[in-house]
Amino acid sequence: MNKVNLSIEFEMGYCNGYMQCKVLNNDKEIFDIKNNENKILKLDFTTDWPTILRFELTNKDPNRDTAIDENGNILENKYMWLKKFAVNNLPLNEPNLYKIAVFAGKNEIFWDRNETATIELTEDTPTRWLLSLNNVIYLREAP
Amino acid sequence: MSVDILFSSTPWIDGTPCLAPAILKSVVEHNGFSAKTIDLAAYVYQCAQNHPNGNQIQKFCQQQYINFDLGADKIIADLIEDCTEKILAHNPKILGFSMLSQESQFFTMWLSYHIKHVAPDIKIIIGGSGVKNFIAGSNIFYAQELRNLGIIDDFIMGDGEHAMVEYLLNNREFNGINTPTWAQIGNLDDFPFPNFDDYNFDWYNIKSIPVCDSRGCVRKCEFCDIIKHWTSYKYRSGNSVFQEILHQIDKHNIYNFSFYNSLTNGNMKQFEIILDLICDYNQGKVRTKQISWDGYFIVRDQLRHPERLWKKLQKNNAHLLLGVESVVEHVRIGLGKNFKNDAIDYHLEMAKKYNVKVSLLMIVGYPTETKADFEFTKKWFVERKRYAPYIKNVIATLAAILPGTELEKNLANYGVVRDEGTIPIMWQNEEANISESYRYEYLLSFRSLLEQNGFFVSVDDTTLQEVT
Repeated sequence: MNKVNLSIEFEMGYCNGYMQCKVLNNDKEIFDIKNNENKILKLDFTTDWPTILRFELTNKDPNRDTAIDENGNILENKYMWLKKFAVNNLPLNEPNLYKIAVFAGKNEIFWDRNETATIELTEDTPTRWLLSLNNVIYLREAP
Repeated sequence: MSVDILFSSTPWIDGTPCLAPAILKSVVEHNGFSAKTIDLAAYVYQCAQNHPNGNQIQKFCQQQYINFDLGADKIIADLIEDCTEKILAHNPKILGFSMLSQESQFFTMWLSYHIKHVAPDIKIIIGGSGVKNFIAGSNIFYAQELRNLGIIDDFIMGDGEHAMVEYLLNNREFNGINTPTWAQIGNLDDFPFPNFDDYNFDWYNIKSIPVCDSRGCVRKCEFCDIIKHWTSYKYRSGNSVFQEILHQIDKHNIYNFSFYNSLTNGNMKQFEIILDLICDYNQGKVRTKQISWDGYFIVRDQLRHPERLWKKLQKNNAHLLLGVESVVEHVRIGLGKNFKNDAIDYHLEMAKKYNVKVSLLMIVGYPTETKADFEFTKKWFVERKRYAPYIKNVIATLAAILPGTELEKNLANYGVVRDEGTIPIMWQNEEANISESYRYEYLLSFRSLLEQNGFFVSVDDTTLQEVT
């Protein structure tokens, strides 16, 4: 059994529209996000394991799609921000999001340029992959 | 060929047989379902014993700690896959994980997660004391969250004998199935004897069969959370317990038994029936064919534990785990153990006279103890070093304030303060000027002093890990 359910969530930054993004799973296109209208983008799908996910980002005009005030503070920005990544419902800890996402050659979860991000789902099983990431899960609330 | 349900324990348990899978197997088979058992906790313990980095397995189970320099992630992943294979070999429709304590939580979560990946059609249900963070606590976050995440399908709170059968009958409305509430079983004699047929007794360093003769306790010690879980004391008849012992001897040729309970001598009448039957059984047999047992034992005065009782205990080859808790009389009586120090001395003297093995369960640094009490305790043991050869073990545990206990309610009266949400052994007594680190240092010096005086002392590993 090598099928897994992936659940990926992005915060979408708006400035003259949203980022557009093609999502490729093992080089096959599975999403072509052109008409997103929400601040949160959720992608839920089933895939074989292991695999490589590629996110090809477009629609960012660097001269137009980041609004700043006279002090250089960003007022509006067009971006995709990886907020959640869950494999078979088990979420990655935030530090692990940085470990798995490579954007324009660097470990980065804030994607604000027309570049490609990749996430490699390696190891034989999700269990091995999550353990290799030290993705400890504490389900102990204070008494 | 598939089975309706496979019951398995989950680690971490230190190499002793887990009773619950055997109880549940017999109960559901009695009700017409097919069942298998596997004591995975014992298997994992053996794996840890035999692996050069076996302590990494224990650390993962207890703390979810992964040492990458030692390749612990791969060790754990291999182990999870190994356990999964062992489970799937039985082709179960339902998998029931029995969790003895919260030390089972991490491994259960990861194993369930992996099984759901490789065999998503198998339903997973968890139960046992470890389903909750604290047995008397109201928090069922762990079980609920695992269920929300789809890692398990259902959970059972409290006694599982009736609930498990109802679950197999698809009655999800039964009290205790996916609910924080549950009803304690009234008559423990109603059930068939536990079925250990699938157990591999080679997995245990000491071959011993667990027996449940009672649930709950006759005392109301303020530190204890068991009495909040099983609110009334339920016991089995002595005859039934003895018949079970004979049944297990006949099936497994094992003569050593461990009573799984809070105390063996809660009901003296039934207890003496068991003692008498074992005395009769052991009479005239070679030692290897005699019954022996260990169990928790409350101390009472001489009148209630007369010398004739000790003669029987000797013939029973008993090992008594005496719940002394504190040798400071006012502290011990205050916490709910209403016996004098004379009674402890009497028990030690009887143990020596009749060569009955005893171990002393000690709570080190109870909230009502002062620094002067600490010194008194040390002196008390030094003055009794003549008994050291007869005391198998002094089991020392740092005082823990468990959720839901009377002790927790009384903290302010004792001048105890602690941070919200902290672990149970982290607290300070401001009035007595006793901090966590002071108690920890005291524990170490207590152990050292006793060892110098010939006592064997064991301190719970987890306690030390949590403090250090």
